[in-house]
Amino acid sequence: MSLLSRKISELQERTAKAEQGGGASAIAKQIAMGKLPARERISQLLDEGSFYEYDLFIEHDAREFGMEGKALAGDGVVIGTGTIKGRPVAIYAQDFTVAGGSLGSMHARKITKIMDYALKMRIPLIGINDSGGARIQEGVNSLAGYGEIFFRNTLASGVIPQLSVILGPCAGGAVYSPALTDFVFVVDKISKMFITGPEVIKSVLGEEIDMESLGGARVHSETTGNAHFFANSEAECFEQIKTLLDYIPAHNECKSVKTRADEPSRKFKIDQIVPEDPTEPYDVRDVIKAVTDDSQFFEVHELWAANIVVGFGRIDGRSVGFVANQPLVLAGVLDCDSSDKAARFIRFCDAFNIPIVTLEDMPGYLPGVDQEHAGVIRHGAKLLYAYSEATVPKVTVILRKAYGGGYIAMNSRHLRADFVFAWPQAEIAVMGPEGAANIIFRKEIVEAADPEAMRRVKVEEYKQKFANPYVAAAKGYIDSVINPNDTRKYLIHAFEVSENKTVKRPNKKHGLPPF
Amino acid sequence: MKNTEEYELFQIFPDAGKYKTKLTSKVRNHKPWKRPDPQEIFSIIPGTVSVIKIGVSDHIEKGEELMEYEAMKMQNIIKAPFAGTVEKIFVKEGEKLAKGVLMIYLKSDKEFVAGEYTTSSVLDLNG
Repeated sequence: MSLLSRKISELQERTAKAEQGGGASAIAKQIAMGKLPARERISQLLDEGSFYEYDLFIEHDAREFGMEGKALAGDGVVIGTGTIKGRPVAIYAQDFTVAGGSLGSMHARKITKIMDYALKMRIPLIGINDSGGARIQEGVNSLAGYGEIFFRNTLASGVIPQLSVILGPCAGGAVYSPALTDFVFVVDKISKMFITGPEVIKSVLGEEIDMESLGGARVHSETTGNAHFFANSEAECFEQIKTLLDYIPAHNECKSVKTRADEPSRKFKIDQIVPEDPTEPYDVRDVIKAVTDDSQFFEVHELWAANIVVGFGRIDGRSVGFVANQPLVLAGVLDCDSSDKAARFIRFCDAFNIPIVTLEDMPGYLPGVDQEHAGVIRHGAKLLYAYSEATVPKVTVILRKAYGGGYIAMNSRHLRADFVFAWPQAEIAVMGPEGAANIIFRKEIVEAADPEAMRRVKVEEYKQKFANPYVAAAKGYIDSVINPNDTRKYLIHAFEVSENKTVKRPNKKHGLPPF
Repeated sequence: MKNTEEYELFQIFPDAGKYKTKLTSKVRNHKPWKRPDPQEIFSIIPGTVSVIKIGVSDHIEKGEELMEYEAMKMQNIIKAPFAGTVEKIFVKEGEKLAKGVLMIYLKSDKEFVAGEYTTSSVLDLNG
């Protein structure tokens, strides 16, 4: 055997050993927990044979607390680059089979290395989190590692898309990295995210709660809003990631790519979706599917703040973001959580040059002491800020109700929507007819012989005069009142003419959205 | 140095000691978290009970309509988050409710798995 062949054999042996991670029995335990090993996850997510791994032979240099002489393959994390549907991505996957995937300083060094590459190469970063947390034996060096990761998440924020996939525990300080990224993916029964765990909570506060109920996939998808996508299996999660990457660019200065455009499915008859009775609900996602190519809609944050719907679709081959009030849930009101959800999505679209379509049908902000005390003022303001700040092409279609402050907040002309269209049944007014009549016609009602009858007359008068789109149209607040059947045509044209939209804003380091 | 402040003792972590510090009213008034019973169906928004579509002892499938609830100028449809039997109805048609009022007790057919019902999933969109 030549020298080179011997050396290659040695390389292959070392590689095979390192790729075993924590060894066969640790891998078996991982699989028994219903979790895939790290490299298997990468191989399922990325295009076949497209993954190149780096820093396979990294070794930790810790000496204390039993670390000396302890070999940890790759220091518990796999990093590299590859492609997903032909698109380059940077990826890391923590290896739970090696010291519980705990983060030590070399482990963190590998992650920050691939983050630096991703930012430099302007490609999306995917982080698969599956770790017991900081490696206590490495003390402050572990904390330093986390800090370096969080800073880079922030540095890269808005430059490259960052996806966090929670395929195991992600607790304590570690969970701040996903929180700093753009999209968080969770899998039922596998993902666990919390700052402080059940044992400490029980011990200090006497509150008994299991891990799943405290910070499982469902909790973060439905209650906290920390997770954007919920899957029933790792395989389903990987498909979601691939689909998301179809809609978003590789980086923030990418020229948008037009794909083939299909017509929406005929089963969505747009003029039959919104009921005649304004108190009847409907699923606004049917309206979205009635206008998108091939009626495809990829919803984000589906299970949280469901009274507003956000997600991606294509219109005439262009990827666009949708924000739509959902009358099916909580009457489509605006509140703390829905304002947060929409504002965050709008800012992602704006950062990555994705035009925004807003579909409006909301009766106003949700009243209540708990909303007020939860800061609906502060949270609601985020939505106004996000829409105003966004300079991507913005088109609004008022489907039905647009009352009060919500009319302003839902991307009105005043927040610099580029085009505002309204359906003929739109009701655009400062207040609902019942409330408004009580105030404006108070004198007539109080002095009438039959106040209740007078009230009904005045409510009807207000309804006829104001609960329609023409008052706003007369002022140019609406660009056009349109036939619902023409909605897609109007959207296609609006985005066609706004391709080179350029706006100048006053120079500033950055604004101050009400965090 | 004048030191007339009264500090309270605050235990944060089980192994650490108690800190002398001032507390906020939120922390002082904190009540220990109790696991909600998903069988208790509460109103999630202030409104009026329009139409009650079920009766005591009715067996309901998941997703079946329990009531129409008028709120924010809309008719909201409250659906059963799981299959079960109506044990008690606490409200009447036409009754005005605040948020968080117990409306129906629906006895589930099956035992609940921890973490399966973290919120009242009465508005299950795909059910």
